[in-house]
Amino acid sequence: MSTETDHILVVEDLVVHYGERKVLNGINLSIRRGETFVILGGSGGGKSTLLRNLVGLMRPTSGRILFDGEDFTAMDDVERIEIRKKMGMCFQGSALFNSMSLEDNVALPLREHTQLEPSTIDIMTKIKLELVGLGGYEEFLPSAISGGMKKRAGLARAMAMDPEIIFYDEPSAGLDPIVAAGIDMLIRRMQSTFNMTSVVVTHEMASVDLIADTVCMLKLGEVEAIGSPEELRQCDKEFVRQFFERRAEEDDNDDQQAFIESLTE
Amino acid sequence: MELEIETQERDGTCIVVVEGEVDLNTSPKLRTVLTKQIPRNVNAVEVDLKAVPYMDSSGVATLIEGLRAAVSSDAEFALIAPSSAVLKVLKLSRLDSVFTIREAN
Repeated sequence: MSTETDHILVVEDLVVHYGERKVLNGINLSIRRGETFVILGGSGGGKSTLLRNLVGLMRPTSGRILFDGEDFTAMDDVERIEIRKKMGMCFQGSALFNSMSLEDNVALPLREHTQLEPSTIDIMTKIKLELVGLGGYEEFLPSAISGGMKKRAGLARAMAMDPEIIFYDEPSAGLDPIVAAGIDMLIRRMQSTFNMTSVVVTHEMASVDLIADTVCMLKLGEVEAIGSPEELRQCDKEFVRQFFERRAEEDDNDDQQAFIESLTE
Repeated sequence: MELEIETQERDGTCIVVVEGEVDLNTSPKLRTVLTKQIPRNVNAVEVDLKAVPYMDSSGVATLIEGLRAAVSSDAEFALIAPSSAVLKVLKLSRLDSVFTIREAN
């Protein structure tokens, strides 16, 4: 039977607005410790907003996010920083500091947030770069490496502090299918070796079968479906089927009519 | 989880018994023992890891620093009975071949 402690993150009735516009409308979900949880959905569906709330970069309008049972949303900034040290974030654009070598990029969180000796940090940094296949590239600047290598360097930095949970924002966006599959395998390997929980935001269907234990599909700021990839494949909701079968949206005649009226009346 | 470390010397070997999780918070304690408190006249250092259920990369890095310190004193350095979880981390980092790894004495 599952218990509270099986879940590293629990989201309860999360509502988020940008100004007047409601972007997330009552999200409920639970992420089990050690699983790879994929958040799927179309553009504008609320995926990135949900991710920003999960890592504490935004505060919601209402609702709660529990990290290890503690209400992350109610914490002050100092308390949130302590929780965020247990999280790793792999940004879509890698977000590496261009003026720093890969080694310094990866070492930065350790230098900023731990009391470890420089010699220990140096070895840890080399280990992390080796893990992502960038051993020997320590002195390179981000501008001197490919897009796929930047993604891997971003992953090495996200793992620098050995986080309990790691968040990936579109990890394979803009990569060719072979490099993208390599990133997916890396995510899986990190998860199985370090028992790291992974939360992956993507719209790449190819990634789902490779990495997901649980898939949460968002539509217009709400959870449309949640379950294993197999369960979602059996789901008969139109949006889910459309996504899995890669079918284009049919023209909405009402919308089209409203558009014409707005121009002509 | 608190990290307990006990050292004992037997027949020219310094045995370091580690108990608990080795992570960012606790690895400095292990580093101090391995790099500063091992007598320089021992022939070998054995780090007993059977009571270590989890070790992160700061722990692995600390073991490497311990290995370097032992080598500089011409002492052998071995890991004793690491758990499968610790072995997995060493293997993924391709460091299992760097260390002498032995079963429990």
